[in-house]
Amino acid sequence: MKKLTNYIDNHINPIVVKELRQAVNGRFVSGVLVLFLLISVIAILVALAADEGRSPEAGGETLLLINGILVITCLLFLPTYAGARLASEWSDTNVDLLFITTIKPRAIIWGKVLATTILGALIYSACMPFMMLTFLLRGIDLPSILIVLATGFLGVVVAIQFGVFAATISSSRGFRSLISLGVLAGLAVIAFRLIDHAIQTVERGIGVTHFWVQTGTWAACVLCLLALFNAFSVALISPVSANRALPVRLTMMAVWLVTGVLSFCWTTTSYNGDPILAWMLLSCVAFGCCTLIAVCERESWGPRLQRRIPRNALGRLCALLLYSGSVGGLMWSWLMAGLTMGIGAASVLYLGHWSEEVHRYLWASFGMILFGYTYALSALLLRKYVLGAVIRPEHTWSLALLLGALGCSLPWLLAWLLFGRDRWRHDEFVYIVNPYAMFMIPTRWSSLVFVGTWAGLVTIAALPSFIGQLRRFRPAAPSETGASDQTQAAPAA
Amino acid sequence: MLVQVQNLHRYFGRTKAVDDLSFDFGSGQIFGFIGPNGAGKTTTMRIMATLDEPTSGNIMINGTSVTEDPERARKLVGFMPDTLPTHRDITVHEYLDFFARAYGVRNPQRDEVVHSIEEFTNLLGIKEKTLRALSKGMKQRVSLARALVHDPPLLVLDEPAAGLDPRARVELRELLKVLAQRGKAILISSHILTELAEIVNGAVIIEHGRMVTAGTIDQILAGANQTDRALTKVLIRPLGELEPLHRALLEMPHVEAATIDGEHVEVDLDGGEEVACALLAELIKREFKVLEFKQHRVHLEEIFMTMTKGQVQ
Repeated sequence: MKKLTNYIDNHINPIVVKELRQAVNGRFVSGVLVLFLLISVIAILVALAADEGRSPEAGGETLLLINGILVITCLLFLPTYAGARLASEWSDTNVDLLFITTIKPRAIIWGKVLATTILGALIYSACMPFMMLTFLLRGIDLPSILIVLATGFLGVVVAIQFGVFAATISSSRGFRSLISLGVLAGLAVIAFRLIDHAIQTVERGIGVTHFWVQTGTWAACVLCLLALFNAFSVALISPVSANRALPVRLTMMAVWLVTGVLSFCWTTTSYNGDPILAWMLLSCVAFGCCTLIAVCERESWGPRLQRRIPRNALGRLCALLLYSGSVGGLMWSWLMAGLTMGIGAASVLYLGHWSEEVHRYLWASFGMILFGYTYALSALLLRKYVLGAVIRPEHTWSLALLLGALGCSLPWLLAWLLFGRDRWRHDEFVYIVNPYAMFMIPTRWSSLVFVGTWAGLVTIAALPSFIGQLRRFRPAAPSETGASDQTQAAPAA
Repeated sequence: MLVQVQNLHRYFGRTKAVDDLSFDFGSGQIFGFIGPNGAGKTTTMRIMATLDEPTSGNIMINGTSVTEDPERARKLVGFMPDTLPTHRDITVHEYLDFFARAYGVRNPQRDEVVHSIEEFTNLLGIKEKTLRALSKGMKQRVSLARALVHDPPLLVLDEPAAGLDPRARVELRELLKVLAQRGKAILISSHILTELAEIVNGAVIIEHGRMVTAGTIDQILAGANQTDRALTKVLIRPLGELEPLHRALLEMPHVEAATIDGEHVEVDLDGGEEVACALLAELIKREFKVLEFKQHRVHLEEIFMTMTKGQVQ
């Protein structure tokens, strides 16, 4: 028995142990738990008193009430708690304490998420008796209660991951506030979806058509989000010298594959090409965003990465696509977008859903990656040759977003100045550098030609830098590693 | 155990935080790392602790490169940053237990290791106190205990004595001496050079990221003497009047200069300790009543002030 407890003790994530100890020692968690229990008791008593046993749906209504309180409490409290705890240890002045040990960044992030998930489980388990009690009233069955609890808990886990992700962004207070607002909006969407799903489950039951397909898809999407934000968080807290891009790109590829397979299944069962087309467009938007991240990455590689670069040509090419680095990131984004469009078009053709709509989606998908690339590369050149003293390389993405915002708004302003009320007749001009142009047939070609030329020009301008990076992407010279090996051998000798 | 800093460079944009720094030290040595603010001490220490990557150059810890194999190097380094532990709602024991777990120290050894570290750093009496309830001196001690928890052969201490009261400083000094006797290599940066001079065997002085001098304290003192001052300086306190002694000294061989400074006559000799002994013998022979005759050693602080200009990057 002692051996078993020692084994568990030795293999449990240290962060989980620390976080739970802190939670137990602190009064905040226990305070929230007691407050939550009080609210639940009051809510159920009020619901029962108001109903007086007349409503045939009393069980379902009470369940929805408690579930609403539970979801909103957990979505507000747990991500904030997890984020605040990590942010306090992940500041500029105290950045090192977790990172001087041999513990891996992935273990740190999972530890934070898992510890807060356990707190969530604690709150859920405290609430379960009240929710199960609603079964004794009318209008609800046990499987529905369990489904509501399970989907709610899954949503809470993703929300915790959102909170942890927001805390890993090392930036100014203003930007962090902006990110927090974005996270809050995300949490509101999750809360809305969870409450809506609970209402649907209670009202229709689990035997309704497509219930399991919809719930399964929802669960798969939530798990994909969890995996993605987990990978982003791990990358953000990894040392700059590490290969931060590898886990992100591998996770993105896995999510891309899973969602692709799911959308293919949906297309075969729903008899229209919409799921695949939506997957294709959303994937291309994601890869377009990846170009913005790629231009913030390194242009030369330190010894830590160099010693892991394969020596054979094929291995090196694969490594270039998966290692941190701007040229590799841009190539990977284009490759993935190309694959997405190819697979999307082939799938629609194979399933016999080819139509004019498919053309529109294909052009729109191509536009997403083209616009993303053009704005990202323009920002890179601008930062490199003009604003180098003002903007740090890791913030190039914000410059790209600014250019994108200018591209979408400036033509409107110019059209208003030049054409006045007739500006509506000059869509080609207004949408010339706006990705939305790709959705409209009249503006598509002028925009494509303009942005395509622009992309060609910035590529030519960035070509020397790209070639330089390709040349620098080589493994450490044998003499360098040999030297360190020799030194390593010396003490032993 | 040998730590070798080899042609280390670290640039932040156009700023050269560390510029071609090379030195080495080994087991049982306490090595002082001295320089004005912004000289590149913390950057070098962060690279040594694998928290930063050099632009070029390397640091080898017992043959392990911090740039090529940072995971392995971390096991060899105990780093005590200049920031104090800020974890709230956690006791001293839980804090040390957490870091022992994080370094992969497994049970049943972990409990023994944490206990012995608490005993060594005199934390047993406060091990159930939460970190926020501790004084700065106590927190420093916890920080040192944390750096020791995985028994690393190299300790990197960034300003460990900053803000400590005299008693805590003496305790820290004694702990470091014991650790050096146990065979640890210790690199320590401090602004309190008088404190540092009492415990270090060697030192490296840097300014603008560049090395000014490095070596054992005797080597540095010899280097400083050769460049800037007479080889030996002695202080003499006679019984009675200072003036006759002063006049006599000025006429003696090897005396470069003699000045009256309070109760002493300060003498610069153009020779080593042999010349100083000969001078004392001559004074007694001439029947001067010498109450005190002592060699004035050049302090680390004086060397530092002479060799650096105190400018930051």
